[in-house]
Amino acid sequence: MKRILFVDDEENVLHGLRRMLHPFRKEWEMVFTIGSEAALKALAQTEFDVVVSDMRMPCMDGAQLLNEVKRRHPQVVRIILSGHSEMETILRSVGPTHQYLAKPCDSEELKKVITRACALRDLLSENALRALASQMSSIPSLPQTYTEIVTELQSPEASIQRIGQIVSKDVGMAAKVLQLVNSAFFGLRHHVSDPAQAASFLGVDTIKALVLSVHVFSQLEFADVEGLCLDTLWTHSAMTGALAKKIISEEDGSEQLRGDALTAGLLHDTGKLILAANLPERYAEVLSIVRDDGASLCEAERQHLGNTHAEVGAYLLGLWGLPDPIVEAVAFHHTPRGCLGEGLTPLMAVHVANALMHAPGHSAEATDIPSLDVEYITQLGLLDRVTTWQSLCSEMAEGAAAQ
Amino acid sequence: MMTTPHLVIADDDEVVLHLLEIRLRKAGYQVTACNNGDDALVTIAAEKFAILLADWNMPGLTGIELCERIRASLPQCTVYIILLTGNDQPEQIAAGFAAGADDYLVKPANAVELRARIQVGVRILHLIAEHAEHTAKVRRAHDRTELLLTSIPSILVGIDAHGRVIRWNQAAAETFGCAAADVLGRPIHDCRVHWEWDRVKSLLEKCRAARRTTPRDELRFQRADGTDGCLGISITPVPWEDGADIGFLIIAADISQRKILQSQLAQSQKLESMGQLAAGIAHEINTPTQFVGDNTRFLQDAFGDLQSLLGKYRELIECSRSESVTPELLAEIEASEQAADLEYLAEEIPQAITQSLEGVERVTRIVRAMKDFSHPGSEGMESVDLNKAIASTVTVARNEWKYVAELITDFDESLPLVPCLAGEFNQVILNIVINAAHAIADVVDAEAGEKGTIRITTHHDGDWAEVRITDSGTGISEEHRVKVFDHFFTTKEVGKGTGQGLAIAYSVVTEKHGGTITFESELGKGTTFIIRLPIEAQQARVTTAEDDAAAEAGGAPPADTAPALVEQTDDA
Repeated sequence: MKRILFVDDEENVLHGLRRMLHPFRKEWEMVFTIGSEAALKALAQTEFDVVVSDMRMPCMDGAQLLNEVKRRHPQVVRIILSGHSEMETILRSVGPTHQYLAKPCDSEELKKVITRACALRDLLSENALRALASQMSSIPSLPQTYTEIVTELQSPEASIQRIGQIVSKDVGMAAKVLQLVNSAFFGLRHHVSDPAQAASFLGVDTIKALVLSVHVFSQLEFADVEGLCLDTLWTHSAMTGALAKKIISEEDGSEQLRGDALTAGLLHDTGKLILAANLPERYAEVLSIVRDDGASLCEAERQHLGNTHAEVGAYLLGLWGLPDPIVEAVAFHHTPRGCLGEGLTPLMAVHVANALMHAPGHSAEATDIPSLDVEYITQLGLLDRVTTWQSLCSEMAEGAAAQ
Repeated sequence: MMTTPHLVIADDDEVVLHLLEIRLRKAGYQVTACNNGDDALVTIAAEKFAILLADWNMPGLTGIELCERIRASLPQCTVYIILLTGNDQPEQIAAGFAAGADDYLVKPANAVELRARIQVGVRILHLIAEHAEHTAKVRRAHDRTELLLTSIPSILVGIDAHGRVIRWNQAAAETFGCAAADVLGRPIHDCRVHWEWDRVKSLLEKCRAARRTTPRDELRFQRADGTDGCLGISITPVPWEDGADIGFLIIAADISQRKILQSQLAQSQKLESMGQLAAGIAHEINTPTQFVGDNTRFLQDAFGDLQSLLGKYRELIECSRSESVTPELLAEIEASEQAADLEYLAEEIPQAITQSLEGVERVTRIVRAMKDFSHPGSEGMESVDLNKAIASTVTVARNEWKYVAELITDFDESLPLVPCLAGEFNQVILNIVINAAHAIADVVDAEAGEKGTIRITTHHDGDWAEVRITDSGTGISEEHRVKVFDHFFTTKEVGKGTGQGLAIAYSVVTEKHGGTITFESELGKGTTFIIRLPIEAQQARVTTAEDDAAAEAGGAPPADTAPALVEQTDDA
């Protein structure tokens, strides 16, 4: 049973939540505390999976509470449910908060977010990895990209187009702007999956505040892990995103699907970054096992770390409230049959793009592409399209080489 | 001052001439003797003051002709003329006076009498000279006054007891586009000035009745170029002569620019505080909306459960009618009851309803308070329940103080309705309450859950309504006290305050309501602002148009006078 803690300074709000969520009493054990102090006490006594806190409370406010929770109980999913809409308050809570919900929050939305957070917990069986991912308030960016965006933001003629371009090519920045835009901070009614579009929703001033004063982006502070070149990882991520989008376009997928595919491709290896950043030695070991024993990366990760990079990445992106199709694509990009789905999905595109990018030569039969799940593609009835996608991949590779 | 006048003697009788000359010289006069009228005229023409002693019959100009010529052609000379002649007929004497003589003496004249009469002439000439000098002085003074009046940038219109324009200065001519020459002497209502005549007329009547300067009023007018403007105007009664008749002095100025600035300033301050409030109000509404929604959702679910349970009961009734109740059915009903968590529902539903209604009530209250607070659509004075207005303002601003202070209101229920510009009064209360909350936030440790106190009391004090707003904040330091009501004075960090809040409060209370706003403050203990508003609609503080003009020209803000009205207690 999942344990969920609700914190508010207003008793009526807690009563309302308790009644509204009464039907979930068999699945969730819910505790309601008035104020932050009582909440910390409750957290000290028992383990919780999710904390849903009000923002503005006397004494310790929601941002302070969640920072404390992050420090003391890092594995707990942290959600703000606030009636405040001032930018100042929001910026303060960006750091410790996984998701931000606005009061009044539709009960279905609240149920969905909590259910999703609980489901994510099940995605990562390894408690240590959960703690590790939950603690990350940003995914590090490449230093040169970080410098590039800071320079752009500090320039008096900062342009949202250029900012969008920079954000779109960086895993960490793209994930962060998508988290912010898709949270209730900005009250958008539909999910945004294109990082450039997300940047333009935020606007230059907000991004400036977020980057320069709240430091929502961070730069890599670790060197390459043996067996994992970070530059290569970024290039691979960007190329996979671009190819996934091309595949969807080739199949006449919708604008939304193309955006989702692009972003999912860009973010699909987020887990590798998280692991390399937090567990460099153990991850290097895993990579050497893959090299020496010829084991698949996912098997080795699962065996030695408990979960795969796909799961770790999906977990964090899910915590951040990124759209489901993107989180699914990241979670299952190596094991697409683990996810139910039909027709064109970002998952399919990312899985294929990733496999093609990893396949040397780009000219073999579909069955010769090592990491392509042929059975999955066959089930979708798309096997005959693989050759076309391969040529898209070759075009891209040639284009990149020509540059 | 005139010295002894020159004495001119005209006589064709050389002996008489000589004799007179000698005698009068002896008597101390400066004498010129002429043996004919023409020479005498030439001599006189060169003098400013002179006494002429003339014979009647002479060759050339006769004495009579000499009189006539002097009076007709030498107005610049002041000449006292004595005819000294043998003609002694009354008709002749009368003709002599008619020609312009001042005195008439029949020959032979007694020497003593002649000197006495000359002496009269000297005295009269002295009087005339003195009078001339005095007149010149008055004229110079008048000219100077005139110059000052002309230089006044305000419009200055004088009206006599019959309502006719007797003064129309340059500013009036330029502002209204009517030259003084076209309006002087005409009735004021007939001067083709495009202003709200009805209001001017009623001001004139008020002024006549009250016999004192009317408080400054504002009215619309059209400038010479046809554009519309706003005129600040006040009328002063001018009692004529015995005071039975009065005329008026209208002083006015084109205050459009200042009005625009004022309204922009007030507007921007209002927007600023509304913007600040908006986030807080959103929170105050969002919170109850959250739990009302949750409760309603719960009630919806609960009703679904209850409805299916009711179905089961109905089934039970049917079965008991047909006496076919089975143990299975009873077990089924019990299971349904358990599934619906009947006990929980029985306990929670009434509470959910009560709390939802409470939430709705809270939203209603704040929405109503917002409406009361912003008070849309009314510009003029109206009778306002200050207690209610303050309660609304406090509700609207709740989010600004509730985390740092308890707010206690202690209203005097006997307070009558007070003539008030409700929207502006609310703004004043808001500004002071927000300042109070900020002052408290600076001293309490909010993280430790400490709170200060804001106490608002109202009090009916004779002809006055008094509002006191006391906070337990930082207090105002000595050096800041004199500046509290100044425009642009703020102790808040850049971007947090425009420094207009209390300056506007001051102007609203004193100028627009004729009230007073003062404060008592003690460092480290807190501050009390005291607002007093007259309960009877009374005249607002008298500001003359000259003040306006001075303020406009020199830029000295009216708030400069504020500190003089501030009471301070300094126990610290």
